[in-house]
Amino acid sequence: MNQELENKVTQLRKGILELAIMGFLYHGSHYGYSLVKALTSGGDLSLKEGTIYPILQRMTREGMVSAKWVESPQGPPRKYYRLTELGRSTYATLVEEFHRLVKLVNEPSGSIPTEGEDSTGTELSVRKEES
Amino acid sequence: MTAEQMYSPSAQAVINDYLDRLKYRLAGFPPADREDLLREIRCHIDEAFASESGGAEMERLLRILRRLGEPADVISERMSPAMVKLGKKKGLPFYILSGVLIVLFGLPLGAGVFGILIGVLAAIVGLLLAYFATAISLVVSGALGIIASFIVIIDPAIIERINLAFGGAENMHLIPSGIFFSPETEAFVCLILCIILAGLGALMLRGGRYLLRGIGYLFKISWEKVREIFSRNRQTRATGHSASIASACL
Repeated sequence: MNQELENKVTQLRKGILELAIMGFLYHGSHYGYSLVKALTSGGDLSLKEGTIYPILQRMTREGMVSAKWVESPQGPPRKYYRLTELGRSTYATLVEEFHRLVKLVNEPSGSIPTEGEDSTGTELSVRKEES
Repeated sequence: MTAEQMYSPSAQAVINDYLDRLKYRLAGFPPADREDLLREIRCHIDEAFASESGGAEMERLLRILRRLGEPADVISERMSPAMVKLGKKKGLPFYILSGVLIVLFGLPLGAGVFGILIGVLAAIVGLLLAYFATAISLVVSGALGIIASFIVIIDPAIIERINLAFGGAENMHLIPSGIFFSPETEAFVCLILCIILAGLGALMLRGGRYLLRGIGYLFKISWEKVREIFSRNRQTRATGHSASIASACL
């Protein structure tokens, strides 16, 4: 893949990744590793797993998610994330927008009549020339 | 269960190396964010290592680290919003202009940017000082002139007497033009001129407030840029991605 195409794909994936993270947190709280497992369970996202942590950190600062460290029965403490009220309402808006966009992208180009040449308009101008 | 018990010394060394490289890249981040991120990534490695079996220890570990991504890629996620935020702050023309100037002239020069930056800032401070010195001297000389004019209007003879007392020339005039008005008329003209002078100085002082605010913004943005360039230089030195990062910033 060339550099430009790769950038485009990365850009596209970035926005959707954030939405997907919000989606999983909408349905329950997660810590980083469990969130990665959930995100990759549906198939390969070619996700650099480490990138979700800075995203989560930014979303925390934006007030979209809240986080707290919780002792784990096995292993080190885990930082659990959950969607805040602001995050929930934002998610709802974003999902709506996302579906609208998906529909827009999926719409076969033929199903919406394209504006062709206006035949009456042409005639009119011809007639005008005659007079 | 501590991490030290979980890994062999060589595996622990690999993990430490990864975290060190990550820490290095996080230099520009707020300390609390940095610590939290490192702790989370360490936790991620432990969790992944504990829950995923298959293959030798080092093989598993390297697979986990590969999936995590290179430290530069991991934190790149946080860099762009920071830059976006920088651009979204108050739309003062001064602020934008200085940002553009620094981006245009600062970035391609790399380390030389500091010299230019310091030079430009010093020049601006010099101009600022000159501006205020001018404003203050206008106000002061205007005020003195007003006082002198008043004295002459009240008692025209007084200046003459003071002059003579100090060994000055006779017939000293406030307006040395060769046209001799009466001392009162001269004083009156002088009074008006001095009021204009003082008013000009006062206006300059008032305008200086805005100038100061603009310069404040300039310093602020310069400081942010310097910090940004510092952290970017650190990243690029290791990966050699300077071109792509610089273009991403522009």
